[in-house]
Amino acid sequence: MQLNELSQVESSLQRCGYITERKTAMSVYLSMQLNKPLLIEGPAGVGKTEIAKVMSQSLDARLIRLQCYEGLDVSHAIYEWNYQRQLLHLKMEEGSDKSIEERESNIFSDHFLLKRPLLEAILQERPTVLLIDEVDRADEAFESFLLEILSEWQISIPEIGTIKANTIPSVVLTSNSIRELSEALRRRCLYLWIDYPDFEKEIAIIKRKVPGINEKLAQQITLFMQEVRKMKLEKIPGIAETMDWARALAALHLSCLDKSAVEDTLGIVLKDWQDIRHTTDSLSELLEKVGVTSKLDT
Amino acid sequence: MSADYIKRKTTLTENIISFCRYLRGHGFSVDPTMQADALYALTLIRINSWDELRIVLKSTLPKNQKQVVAFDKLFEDYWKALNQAVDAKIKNKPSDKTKQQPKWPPGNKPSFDTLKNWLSGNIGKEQQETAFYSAQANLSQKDFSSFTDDELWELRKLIRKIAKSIVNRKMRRFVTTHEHKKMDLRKIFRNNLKRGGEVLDLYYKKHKETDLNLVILCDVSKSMELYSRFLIQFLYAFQHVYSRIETFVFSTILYHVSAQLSNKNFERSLQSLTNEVSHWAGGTKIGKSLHTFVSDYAPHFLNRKTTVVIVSDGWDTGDISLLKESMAHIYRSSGKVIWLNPLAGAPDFQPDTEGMKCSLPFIDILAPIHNIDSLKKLPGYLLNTRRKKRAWVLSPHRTGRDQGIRN
Repeated sequence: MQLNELSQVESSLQRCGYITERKTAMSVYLSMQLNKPLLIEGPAGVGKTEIAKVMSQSLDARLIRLQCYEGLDVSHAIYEWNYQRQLLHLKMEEGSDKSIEERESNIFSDHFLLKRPLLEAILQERPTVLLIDEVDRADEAFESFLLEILSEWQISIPEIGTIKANTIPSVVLTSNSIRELSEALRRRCLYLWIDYPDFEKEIAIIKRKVPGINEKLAQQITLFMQEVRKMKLEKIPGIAETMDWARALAALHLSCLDKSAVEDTLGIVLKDWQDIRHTTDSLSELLEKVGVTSKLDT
Repeated sequence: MSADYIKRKTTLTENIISFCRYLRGHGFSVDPTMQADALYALTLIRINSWDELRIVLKSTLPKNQKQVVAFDKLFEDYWKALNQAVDAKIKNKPSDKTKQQPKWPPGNKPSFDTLKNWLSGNIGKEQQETAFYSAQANLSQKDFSSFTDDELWELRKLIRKIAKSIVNRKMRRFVTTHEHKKMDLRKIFRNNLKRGGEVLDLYYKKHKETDLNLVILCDVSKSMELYSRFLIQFLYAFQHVYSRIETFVFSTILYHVSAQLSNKNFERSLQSLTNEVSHWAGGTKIGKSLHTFVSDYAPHFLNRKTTVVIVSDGWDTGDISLLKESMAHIYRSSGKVIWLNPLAGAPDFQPDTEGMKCSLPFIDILAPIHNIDSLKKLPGYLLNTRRKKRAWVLSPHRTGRDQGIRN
């Protein structure tokens, strides 16, 4: 599917259930039009990775994902030779009268090449979305390697030669800013910062993802989350937590928040014991801000 | 300076280009490609309002969060100033905003960078990379001495993140080993290929271990008081994430505080720390304190794999020769010595206090630690730079390259 107009991008994001502001749609649209990678930064759980998924859905393109981690290297990101197979193949050919050159060209052929995500993305004939997730976890060396691929769209494998991209994939990079990314990488990308959602956006997401949720409950959940994020927490909950919580409370058939329900389900929202203790201590106060008065107080 | 950029041009294209120049004047690194992107993007979108224009430019020009935050105001200021200039028909009138324009943040003045480069033998040009923001006062550039309590909270989380990144570093990488662990097929294949694929030699690999032992010696004397609130957070976070670490604090006397810091509750840690350390914010006797370390602790804690981190401003009121002697010993018996000096972030910093001067020959890396940006470089200091040659015999006349600030 082609997305040639900004409005098409907006409506297609909407259709895939991704609720967002204009600026996000604009960045997605421009990154496709300008053929530039989109670098998305923001706190955990605000839907950075989701953008790539939605993009692939609405473009009807294949999503190829490269999860970065400490010590990620070429053999896990680009290619690796299948050594077991190569050895076996050599053994099998031992008796044959093939020349050494023939044997060599045989074992270094496509057949023995294990394609990792980056090579895979480049070799696709059809449109592809390449998601390079948490790029800040990989080290600087890998980042500069990535730069080369993202600007040239080719990969060189010493034994085979240079492989050029058939179609240029749409690239989405995400980062949690654990490590400052290099200026060079930033310059090559369009940059998008996604923050925690505001009230309107968050409630829209809840209603969309948890259809049939009680209106009042949705409002209270959103208010509660907005307040919780203002607190000093070790791990601030993102939209993912909001949705899990909303689903859980909806499954309990609640029509509004009450203190005991919040206490029982707080583990869905907060994932750190100190945070939970801290929040439980000031729960009455917090709920008051949300407009819930506990039965004991009344 | 910015007034020069605010001149009315006749076409949108020209105006956008001079807006890019204006952004550059405010610390954005807008290069011609980005300008071209912005202009091309404008041809794709039907612009009906200022807001539309702002969103298009905001999608193409800022390249990090700080710039995103600063962008809206700059955009507004620019067009406002432009319109004012047109209205008043005074094109070169300096706008009010010029006066408010933030100065270079401390630590990023060109003079300091020059000094740094000179001392480091002009190694990494790219090290300067993101250092240029004159944009809004932001946490990452803010001096630790002026942090509020709320910001300290954020800071502690960040320090823990940084410390964690050191712990995990390289643990997934492999190294060759003689132990029969995991077959290194790549190496087996490559090295046996010369015999036509007959496998005779076997090679093994194992996960690399982080071989970093840390000893932190932290100055908590009066002169460091402004920074000590931050330093406690720093020590606490590090002690928690990293297991092979020993922490000491000193002013006139040296204290071994690893045990106090290891309490899981920060407030309790702080409490036991204040009970234990009675000379908090006292005078400074670095020489004497380090001497205590050398005589009492060094045999247990120092070896070739140990990195010693000294956090101090180098103001010493005690015996300088004792300091020199102790530094020499620490340098000889450790793998690397890093001196973090909060004052080194100042643009006109010179390591010219007595204590600093006599310690310089025995320091591998001298670096500032005064804001978050400098803190983020710490993993690099700890992991990447290695002492090139081990100086078993101490030579006080090492070249300028070996002394001073290295990045």
